[in-house]
Amino acid sequence: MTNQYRLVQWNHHKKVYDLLLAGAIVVYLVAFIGVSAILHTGDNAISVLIVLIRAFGTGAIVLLHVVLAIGPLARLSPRFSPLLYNRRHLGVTTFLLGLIHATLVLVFYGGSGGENPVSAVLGANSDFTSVTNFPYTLLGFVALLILFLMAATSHDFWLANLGARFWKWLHMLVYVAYALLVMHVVLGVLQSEKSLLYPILLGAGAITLGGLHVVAGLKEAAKTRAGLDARGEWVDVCAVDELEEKRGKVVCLKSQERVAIFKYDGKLSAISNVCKHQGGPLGEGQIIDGCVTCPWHGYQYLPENGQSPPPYTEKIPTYEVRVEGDRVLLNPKANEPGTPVEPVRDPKASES
Amino acid sequence: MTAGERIYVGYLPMPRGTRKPLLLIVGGLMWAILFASLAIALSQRDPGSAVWGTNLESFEGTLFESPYPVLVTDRGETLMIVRMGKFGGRGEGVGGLDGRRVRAHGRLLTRDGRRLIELADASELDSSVVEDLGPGAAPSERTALSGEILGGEIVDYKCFLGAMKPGDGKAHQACATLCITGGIPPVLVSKNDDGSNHYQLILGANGEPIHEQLTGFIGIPVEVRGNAERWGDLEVIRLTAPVVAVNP
Repeated sequence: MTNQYRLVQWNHHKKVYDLLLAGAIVVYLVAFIGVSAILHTGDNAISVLIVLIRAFGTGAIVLLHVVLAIGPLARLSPRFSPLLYNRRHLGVTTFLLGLIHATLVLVFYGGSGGENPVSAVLGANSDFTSVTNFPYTLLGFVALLILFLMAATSHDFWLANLGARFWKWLHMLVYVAYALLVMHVVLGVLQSEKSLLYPILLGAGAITLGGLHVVAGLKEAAKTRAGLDARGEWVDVCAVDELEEKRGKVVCLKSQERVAIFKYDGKLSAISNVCKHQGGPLGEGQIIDGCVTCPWHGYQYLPENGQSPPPYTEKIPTYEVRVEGDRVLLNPKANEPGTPVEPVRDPKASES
Repeated sequence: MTAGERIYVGYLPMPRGTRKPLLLIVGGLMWAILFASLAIALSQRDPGSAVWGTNLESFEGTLFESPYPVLVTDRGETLMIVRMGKFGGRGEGVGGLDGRRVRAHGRLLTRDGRRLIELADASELDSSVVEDLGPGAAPSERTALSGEILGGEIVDYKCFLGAMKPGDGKAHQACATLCITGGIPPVLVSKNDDGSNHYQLILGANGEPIHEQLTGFIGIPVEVRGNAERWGDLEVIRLTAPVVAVNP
């Protein structure tokens, strides 16, 4: 939350997350380098720097698959939400692995000659119509540029200052980067590395990612299709008993808007389902310490006014609710972000 | 997660019910990452047997400057001469020694019984890098082979003979292009019937060195049309048509 900016707001979980991330990278690199050294020995040894180029390049792509899988997995099951919490560190690490790969390529393949290493690597060919001779290094360069932009703007400072909409658009470019990297591999190293395992692994990765996104997308689309018709002034949402104490219920309106209704301490309140931070689903969160808490990164809002507790300043729209009999009714017209709305008493709580 | 249990929030202690499934997910991810690493590393192709010597050695024979500097030993073996980095052998220390018997100091690169000398740096020696020993032998006999259309890959001789492993293929394209434009001999490597490598030095139609014209055709499957000749133990091909890239 944006009271003040620090480079990294460390906590125990972030430290464990990053330690595991570092461990995974060490495992990947050590296994890759070790196998290369054991399998190709003596006069048949692969050049050390080429092994490193391959280890860091493939490591970046493997990590990118993990980064891209976390989003849909977290949509499909809250079990994966902890992976989402510090995903930006995965993204930055992916960029750093790619940067090391590119730097080694520039030094080893582009260096020690009579030309600028960058132009030597990017200008070795320019036949955009050829499969065998496509300038694949350009694809990798553009992908790295995108990953750099994402890594550089991954901090909440940029999220707040660029605006959530532009920031989100910028970070959706990760899919362009992924597509470029797949083509970088297909039109590059796969033109001479003939093992069938490479296209199989690359294809399996793309199909898995595509499948996860489609399934998660269909799940969300089904919720929207089943959304409530909000043309009237009040819409019947659910029975009071359907609401769990301190848990939210996400209400999908036909207008694509989503509202989170919470029952807490004998009261009912409704706020936008969309977290101001990264668009997390607040209705899948929980009331903790009196605040609606986003399941993605823990941003908090007071249920009665949609405002983050002081000293934080985020505000989201609020909605009016009322109870008729045992039914909860929602006014689908959103109030301005941060507008206080008197919570409705839960009649069942009053009885008890 | 069971009803009533707190959700996972990064800055709060981890709920008990979150720990076990998360350990399984993280463990699974670690295994998947290890599997990916092993699978990718195990599937790398053999770069071929090639050696880049680390010891300085001396070689005696007759030096010929054109089309590329070579040293022909008394046994008739032709050793191409290149310099450190991605540069051919022409230039200081070699110029003016055409047809002279010389002693060249450098490091050997060897593959498939073919040898290439990377000249030493002057700072490594008390003597000249290439010493003039007097008049040399006559050039090797040149015989015409049949005109040919050949398929293969254009590589730079230095990397392919061991400076980089692998020193061929698309990933090595930028390096090979830099080497060839830097004066390192371009060689067409094709396959003999027994699967061994066949080497032909690529020259222009008049036997002149060509570099820039090959840019865009290095490190990929190509078709080469030209007249083949044998110069001693060296095979050359003088191009009679532009090189053509072979697409699948």
